[in-house]
Amino acid sequence: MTTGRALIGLVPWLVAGVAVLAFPILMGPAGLLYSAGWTLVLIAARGWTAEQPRSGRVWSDCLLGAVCLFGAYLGGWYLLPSIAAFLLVDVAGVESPVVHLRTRQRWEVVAALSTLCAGVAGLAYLLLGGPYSSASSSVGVNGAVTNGPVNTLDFLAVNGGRGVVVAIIAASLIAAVAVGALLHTAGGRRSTRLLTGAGAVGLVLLTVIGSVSFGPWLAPSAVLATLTWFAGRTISSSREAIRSRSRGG
Amino acid sequence: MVARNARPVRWSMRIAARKPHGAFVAAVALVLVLTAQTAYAGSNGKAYKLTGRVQPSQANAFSGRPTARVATAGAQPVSLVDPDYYILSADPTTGAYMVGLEAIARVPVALVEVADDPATNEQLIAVGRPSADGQSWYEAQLAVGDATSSTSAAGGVAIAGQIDSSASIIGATAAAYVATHGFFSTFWMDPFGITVNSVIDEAHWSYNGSTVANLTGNDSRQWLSGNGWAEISHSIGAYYNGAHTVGTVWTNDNFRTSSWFPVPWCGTSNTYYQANNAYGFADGHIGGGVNTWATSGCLPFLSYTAFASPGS
Repeated sequence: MTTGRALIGLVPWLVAGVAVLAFPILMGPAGLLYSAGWTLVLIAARGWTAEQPRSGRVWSDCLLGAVCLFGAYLGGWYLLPSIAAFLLVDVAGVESPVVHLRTRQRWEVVAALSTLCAGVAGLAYLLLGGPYSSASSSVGVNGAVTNGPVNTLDFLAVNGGRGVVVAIIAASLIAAVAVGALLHTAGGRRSTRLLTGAGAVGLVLLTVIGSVSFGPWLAPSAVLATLTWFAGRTISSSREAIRSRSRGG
Repeated sequence: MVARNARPVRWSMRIAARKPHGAFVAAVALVLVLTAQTAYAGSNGKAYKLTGRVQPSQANAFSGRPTARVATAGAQPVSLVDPDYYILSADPTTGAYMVGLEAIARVPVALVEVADDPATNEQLIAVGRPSADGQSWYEAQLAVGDATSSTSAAGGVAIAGQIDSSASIIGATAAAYVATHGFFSTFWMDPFGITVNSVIDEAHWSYNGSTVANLTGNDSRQWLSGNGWAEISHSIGAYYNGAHTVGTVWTNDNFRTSSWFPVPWCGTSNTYYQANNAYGFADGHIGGGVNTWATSGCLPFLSYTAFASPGS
């Protein structure tokens, strides 16, 4: 019975997963940004209400449904089936899995996952979204000029191996931030904080130095990576305080 | 230019003091120095000929600000094999950094901006043959440009590559001419070698050793529109010099971002190509020249590279 309730609790997440996958399938590369954005909204909303009583969760489901309804032009209505499913399990009192963490740890997890989503979406949009425009013109023997149409080109088609190197560096830094933060919330050592910090600093530097080119695609993840590092700092401070109190006691 | 030319000018004045008609000699020397259109040719085994207000230098002899590309990524994005270094001075009246590069050995040659000094209006440039990596990257750029040109041609007009054998310019027989083509390209890049925008000019011409005929051309431009860069103005043309020994295909272009994008701290960024010229010479070799500059709050993150290469 318990297993059955747990499986029922997973259903809203599965429905949400289908919706998130639908964005890039239906909208192309640009859909990845919508996927990332709505995934963050959903994770943040469920994480925020995890420790609320049932009535609080129901009200938050209704509020989120209204947000998605009003955000229909941003693809919000794709999320409505999953929100309806969350509403049903909350009304039925079925526990839907969510990251159960103390508030400070929750912020670090949410920020880390946000960094990951924003980074993956930004990189995917950079690599697949055809960010270059190209055009050509000709001049003939008699001086007649012919202008061709404007076309789009892929990032890798223009930059080749250099584009691959930049993408690998960016992906590594994003992964460092996310993995470091998740290990840190799971009680990891100080080195996990260093991993997060190094990843965040690297991502910010990459974004600033690439500001005239690919930087804007990485900017959201760079900001979130910085927030992730700060969120983890409060946890470290709390742990230090607990350790010093227990030593003193 | 001012700082680098200070010593030759003083030397000329000393001559004027010692010799009869010295003032005249000094004046001529002064004019020569101030209009120094120096050429460094391949007679010493180099594959290129460089023209413009250039003087040989050493990489470490320049006190200007290195471009971020050099500071962060070494020789990227286009490393050169045993490069030669030159100081390129802006024209004192127009402020233009016009430089010419000819592939006299009929192999690709490149020019990379290494550093600049806004105080003296000078740039340190490296010139030489691109390394294997740089060569393959450049060929990929030409392939992308070819694809763009093909798209244009598919639209109904394919002028590039046509040789009108009946259009003999100076009366020579068409059979005496050999058809060829070549490229002159300029790329503005970020410190990682990612192209921000570029202009590739391709000249098609016929030559017989002493004159040029049947000049046509095309260009291919690319810009990173995804982060706000847009082509503001563009024009293309072609002309011969008076003696028909050089045919020029030129492109004027201006790319710009908005004042708040890609990032607010950069402000409005512009890159200008006025012009990017591909020269077809009467002996069949390709050359080119460019006067290009950028204005941006993120100027240290922008630098340019130019290539001259014969067609395959």
